[in-house]
Amino acid sequence: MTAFYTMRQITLTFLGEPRTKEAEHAQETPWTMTTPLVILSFFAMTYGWVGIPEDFMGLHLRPSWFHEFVGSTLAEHPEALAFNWIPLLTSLVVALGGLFVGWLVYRNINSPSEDKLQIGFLKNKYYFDEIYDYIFVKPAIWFSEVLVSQWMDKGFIDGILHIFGPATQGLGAFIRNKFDLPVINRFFGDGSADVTYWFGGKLRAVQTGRIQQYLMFALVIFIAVGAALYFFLLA
Amino acid sequence: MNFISTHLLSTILFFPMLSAVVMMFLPKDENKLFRWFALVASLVPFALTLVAWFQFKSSQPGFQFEETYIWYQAIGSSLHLGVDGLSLTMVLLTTFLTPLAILASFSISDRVKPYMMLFLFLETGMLGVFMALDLLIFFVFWEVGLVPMYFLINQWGSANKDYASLKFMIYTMGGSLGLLLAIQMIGVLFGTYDLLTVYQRWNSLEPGSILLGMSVHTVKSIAFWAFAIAFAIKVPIWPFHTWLPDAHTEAPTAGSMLLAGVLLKLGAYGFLRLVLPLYPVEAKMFAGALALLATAAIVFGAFGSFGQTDFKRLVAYSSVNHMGFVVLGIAAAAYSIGTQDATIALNGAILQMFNHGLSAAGMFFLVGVIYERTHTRNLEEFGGLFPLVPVYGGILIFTSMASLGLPGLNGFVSEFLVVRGAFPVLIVYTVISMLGLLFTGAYILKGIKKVLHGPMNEHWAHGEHKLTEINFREIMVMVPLMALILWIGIYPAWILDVINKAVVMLF
Amino acid sequence: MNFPVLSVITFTPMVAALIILMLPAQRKNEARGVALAAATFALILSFWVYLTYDQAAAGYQFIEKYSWLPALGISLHFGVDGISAPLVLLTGVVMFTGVLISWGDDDKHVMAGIQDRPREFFAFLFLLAGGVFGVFVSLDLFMLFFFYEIAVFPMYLLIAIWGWIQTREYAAMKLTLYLFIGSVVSLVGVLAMYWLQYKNTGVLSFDMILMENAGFSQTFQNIWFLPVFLGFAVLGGIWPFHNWSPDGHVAAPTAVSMFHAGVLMKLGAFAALRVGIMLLPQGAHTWSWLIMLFAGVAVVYGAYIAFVQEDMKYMIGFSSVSHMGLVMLGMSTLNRNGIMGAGIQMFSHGVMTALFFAITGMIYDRSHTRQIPELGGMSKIMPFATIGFIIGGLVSMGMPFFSGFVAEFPIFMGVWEVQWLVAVIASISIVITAAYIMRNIRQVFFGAMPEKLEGHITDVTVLDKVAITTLCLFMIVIGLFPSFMVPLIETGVENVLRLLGGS
Repeated sequence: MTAFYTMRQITLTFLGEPRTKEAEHAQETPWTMTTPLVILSFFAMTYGWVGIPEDFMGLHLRPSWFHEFVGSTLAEHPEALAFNWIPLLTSLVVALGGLFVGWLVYRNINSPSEDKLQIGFLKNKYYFDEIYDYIFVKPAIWFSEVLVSQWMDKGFIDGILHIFGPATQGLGAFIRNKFDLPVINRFFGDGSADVTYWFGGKLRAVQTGRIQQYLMFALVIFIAVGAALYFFLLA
Repeated sequence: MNFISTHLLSTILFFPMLSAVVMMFLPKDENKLFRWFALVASLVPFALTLVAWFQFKSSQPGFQFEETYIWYQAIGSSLHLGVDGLSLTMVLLTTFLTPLAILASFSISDRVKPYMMLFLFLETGMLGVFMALDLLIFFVFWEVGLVPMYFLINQWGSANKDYASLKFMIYTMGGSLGLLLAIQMIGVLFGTYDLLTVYQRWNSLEPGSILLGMSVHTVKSIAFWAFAIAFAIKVPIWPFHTWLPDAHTEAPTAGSMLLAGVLLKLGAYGFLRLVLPLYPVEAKMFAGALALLATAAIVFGAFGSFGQTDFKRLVAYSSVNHMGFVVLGIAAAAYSIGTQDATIALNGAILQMFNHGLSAAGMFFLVGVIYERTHTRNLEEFGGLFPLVPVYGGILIFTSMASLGLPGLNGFVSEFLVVRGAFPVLIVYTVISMLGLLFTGAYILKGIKKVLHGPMNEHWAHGEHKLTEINFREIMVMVPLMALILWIGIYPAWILDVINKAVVMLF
Repeated sequence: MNFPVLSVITFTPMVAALIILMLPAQRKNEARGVALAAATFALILSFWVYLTYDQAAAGYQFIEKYSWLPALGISLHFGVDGISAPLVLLTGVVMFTGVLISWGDDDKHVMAGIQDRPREFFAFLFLLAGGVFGVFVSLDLFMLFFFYEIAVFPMYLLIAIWGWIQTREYAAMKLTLYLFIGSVVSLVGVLAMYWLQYKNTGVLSFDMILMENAGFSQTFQNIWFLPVFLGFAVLGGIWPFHNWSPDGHVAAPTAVSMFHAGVLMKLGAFAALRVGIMLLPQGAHTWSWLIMLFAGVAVVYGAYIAFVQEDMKYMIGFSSVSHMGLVMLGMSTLNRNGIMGAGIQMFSHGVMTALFFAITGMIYDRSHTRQIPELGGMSKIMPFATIGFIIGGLVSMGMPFFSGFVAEFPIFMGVWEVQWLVAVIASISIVITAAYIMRNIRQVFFGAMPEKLEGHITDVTVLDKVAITTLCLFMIVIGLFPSFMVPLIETGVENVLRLLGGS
């Protein structure tokens, strides 16, 4: 598969006719890009060779450099594996075969609509991102923006706090309007004034203007007070 | 010189306040004079704090630089000041952040004189709490700090300032009502408010005896909750946190810097200085509840932050989230006092207090920087600003990473210590709080992404709305913060050592 | 003391009143000038008394005694102790600032201060002030009563003539009658003490120092404590006999309100302490729970009602009910902390409420409204008054570093010693007070000024600023340095405790 899609890539990009204007005008990359590419490709090609076994293809070569290098660092220096034709042939066939098939399939394809491998499922990365979004991201956002910020903090907790202000206002108004004003102010305060007024009105009847009656009252009171003082002081 | 060296703490404490009084008599409309005067006035306590820091002997138990003055003798309260490793760290934080906040406020041009005076009064208020070794003095400075902050928010704040300032003040005062009552009770019981005396006598109360008609256990439990609730509102612990987003968002930039940077630490400090030493048994009993609330703060704070569209509110919720770690550490320590886990957790909690002070102040300032230029805090209205303001962007990313807890910066050290200390003791809560930590990353990156990355919002690219780069003064505000953030992240020993010795000696 | 300073302090206002009355009616500024001179003189003297009181010696000092009616045992007996000395100073301060506030200006078209018959106004006001001084320094029950009545009846004239036209007659009558009834009730009790003292010792005397050691029987005290205490406490605004106060405040002119809340209500509380608690200590022990109940209710009740008021003067009036409730709460504890706190609170609240009413008056004179919803944006025009009001507000809330905290804290401590539940409930008032104070400050002084007021508001005068500064200074100095006043009050409290404990 790796060989297949690599060749697909190479075929579509580098082989065939240019498909767009930009492609027509594509230039060689500057040396700043090419040089690293050259170095990298050199090593890409050759570095694998450090691991060829001693008896590669029946030849007598040095012991595998890589094996010696890593093996000597291990507690037990493992035995070198002998050369085997099967992995060599298998990978050659698969790799070259894959390359060939890739070229075969894509050498004439000029647009995505002709490419039968443009399967939605693959193209959309198995929809993993969408699944993540659905399972994790959207719930988290909902949890943050709606549940925590609005319902819990602003709605519930602040809602409780916001009760205190109106509650105090209500209690204060209640005390003032249902007790302080009617009971203490009106009932006792103004009420006592009314009582006094009423009393005074009734008492006015005593003001007869007749001296005899006044003298009578004076005598009675004098006797009463005198008796009280007598008993109070001397008792 | 001799006066200062024998009165080091009181000089640090009262210098800002006295400078504010002097400012009252300066001629009107001299804005530049006011700004520089206030800045210099706030740098003096910082310099003196450094002196104290280097003279401080971290291996010596007890409090140092103690001073006692007669104050309210009739009820047994004296102005008793002193610091140990814990409080000196907080004093350093306060005196470090205040000049930066004042420098950040140089762009304010509306009623500069009262603004600067209020900041200086605020500084004295904050310092007093940390230095107090007398319960009444502690309370006095605790309450007094509310007034300047109320006016700073109410007069220089943004759109919703009336609501936010009144909520902040009344909520905190309501919470400290219990604190007031409990302190009164203690004063009545012992005839003195001196903290060291109270420590001794409170802990030597016979368990079976009767106080004020109730058993000692009941009295202590009630007093514990009275203290705890007052501090819980200040820290703030979930669910008493809702004043914070409003207050931080509506406050002017420098106000938010100090609110988040220092004022929140007052609550945590109260836990460490008063609740744990005075009520070890009750604290242990309720440590689970405390841890639950701390975890809630971490998780809900992170989710709340993630759900914001207002940049400043996002940072405000991040304070809830980060302070949750402080409380988690305290809860773990309360639960397992005396063990090594407790020590580690406490180290983390205290260091987190310091670190959060730095990173939160930085974040709020940076939000303020962009707000001053764009007059909006709505994340949706930004976008792709990185190419326009690359230096700002870089600083924002740096500070955000500190807030996120990136290893190599300060946040990681403290959060790791807290988690390490809490994990063996409160495993379930610690695990759940990791969810919060995940979303910490989420909201930080959301903030960065919406502001700096993505398609550029052309509105800010041209014409009269063209975004200007962060200027020299603003960079000067951030540089000390960033330097400390980096330094603590790479080499925390210089501060952790002081904290550790204090913690080991206290608990 | 050789110089009869206390009688000079007491009679200066009265003499000044007479002088002012003798001036021609048109000479308004001369009247004001004489008033200010007398007030300043009294203030200086009262300050001198305050500073030179010997705290080590304690007890009653600056004593003067002149026989008046020896046959009935009445003498002009003056003296101050640690509790009354600050109150004498308070009266001097309120008098001084009250004159400054009432300084009308005939030329400007802004109706500020008293412009209509200032001569009579100051005369009556000073008569009242003289009465107040007399009560504070009296050590003779008869003279205390005498001065008490002198302090009450001018209120009627002051409110009815110069008050708010809408309710002044109702309020003046209500206030005066209410206070008279209260004083009559306590008079009966005082007379009972007078007779019993005569019966016990054969000596007719109203002398209070004598009565302190009279040793009235427990039953006697139990019967007579309540009438005496409550009768005087009516003037102190104790719940449920408080309603004359808010109505009185609203109707009264500014300086009268300052006197009313700043000094007069302290008269009531002080007399209740002096005559009720100190002379009938066992009765006090018996009934203290009731006083605590009433006072505790007043504290919370007053705060809640103040919360819903839209008229600034009603708000401050009910706030005064609440704070005087604290005074009497402190007194009802009958312990050192409580009574000491009550003593401080009397001074602190006196200054604070005088400041509040003064500034409210300044605003009312200029805007012709006291309705909070109709006000706004005052800080831009009168920043000085704004700061003054804020400071007063902070004192009202009991904010530390101001005198309110220094006063309220020991009161609560004292209550804790007696009944913790009352302390807890009463403390709710602190938050309520904070809430409505901050809310109303913001509404009145900040925000936008209503259109109706635009262009009509001018800044406060220099004299107003002097008054505001004086009042604020006291509150700040005591708040920062309690030792300026508390030790003095403590000496007075010691005497009270001796009387309470010994019995």
